[in-house]
Amino acid sequence: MNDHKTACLVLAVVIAGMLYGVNTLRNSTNTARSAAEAVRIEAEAAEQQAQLAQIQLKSLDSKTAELRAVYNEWKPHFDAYRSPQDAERHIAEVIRDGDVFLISQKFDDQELDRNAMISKALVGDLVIEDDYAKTLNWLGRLEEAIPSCRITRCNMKRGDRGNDIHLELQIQVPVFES
Amino acid sequence: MEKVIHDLKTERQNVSAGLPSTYKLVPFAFYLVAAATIMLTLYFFLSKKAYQSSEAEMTVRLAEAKAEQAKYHSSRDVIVAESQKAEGIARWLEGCRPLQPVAAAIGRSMGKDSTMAELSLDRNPEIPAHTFLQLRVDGGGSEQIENTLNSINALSYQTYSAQQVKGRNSTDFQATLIHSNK
Repeated sequence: MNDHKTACLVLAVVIAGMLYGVNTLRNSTNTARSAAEAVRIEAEAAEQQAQLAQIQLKSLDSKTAELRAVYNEWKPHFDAYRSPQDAERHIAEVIRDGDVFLISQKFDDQELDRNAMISKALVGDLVIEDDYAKTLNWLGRLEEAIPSCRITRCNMKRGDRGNDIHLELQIQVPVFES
Repeated sequence: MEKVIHDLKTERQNVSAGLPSTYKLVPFAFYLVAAATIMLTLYFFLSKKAYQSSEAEMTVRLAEAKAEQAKYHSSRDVIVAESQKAEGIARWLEGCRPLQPVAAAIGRSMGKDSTMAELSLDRNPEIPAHTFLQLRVDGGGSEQIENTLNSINALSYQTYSAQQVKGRNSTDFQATLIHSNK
């Protein structure tokens, strides 16, 4: 092999090397383009999902606004009774403030529904006998003082004396245990 | 002596023979490929940098979008949880409408000739918004019951399954009361 041929061979090798290098760079560029494209598609999809989530949030917010407003308004009344004793104490206060004649009282805890929002309640059975107007006013004050209470039974009949009434009451006070 | 030797060298073959004509294209191809390599390398290098920069930008956008999405989902979870609590409270409140106004209205509805002998208001344990009313009125009869029902209706209560039993001097009345929000 003469010098010219050797030189040609060297040049050919250099040409092949340059082509190989360019091709490698091209492949690397294509890989980078594919990766960028994949991330772009993923980012656009995520942005669309975020927009959808925002729309759903606004819709849910407006749909439940009234209900949640009621909840926030009533929450303090429910939060006031963290234990059956709290509720019992408050009922006793209302009885004392009303100055009605209490014949008997019985309190008990009741499990309502373990999975429900209000799972427990204090159940009070009260028997009162006093003046008709006084007793009715006291009943109104009781319902006003404990707005979250539920009177489940209310029996009234004539009392033993003139204008008295005999009132048998069963009251439930929801308890939010912390 | 006068003989001149013009050439002492003998005829010899060339040490390196001339390149075939196709080989002459090799240097030309070299220059061509070298120039193209420079241009393509520059092009691909810049393109790659641009794609990498774009990928980095998209990665940031992706992260921001996911963070935003997570924020909305967390806000939604808060609203859903609060709504569930609100529904629980609303269900409870449906069944704790005050009964004192009903009792007072019934008492006030009694006329001169009639008295409320017994009144019983019991909530339905399954549907606490429904209240079972039992009333015994001494004197007055049907007319008195009519007045009493008008008083109850004035409080936006409707009576269902009403029954009335007349005794000698008293009238027993029973019905289910349901409050209407109209």
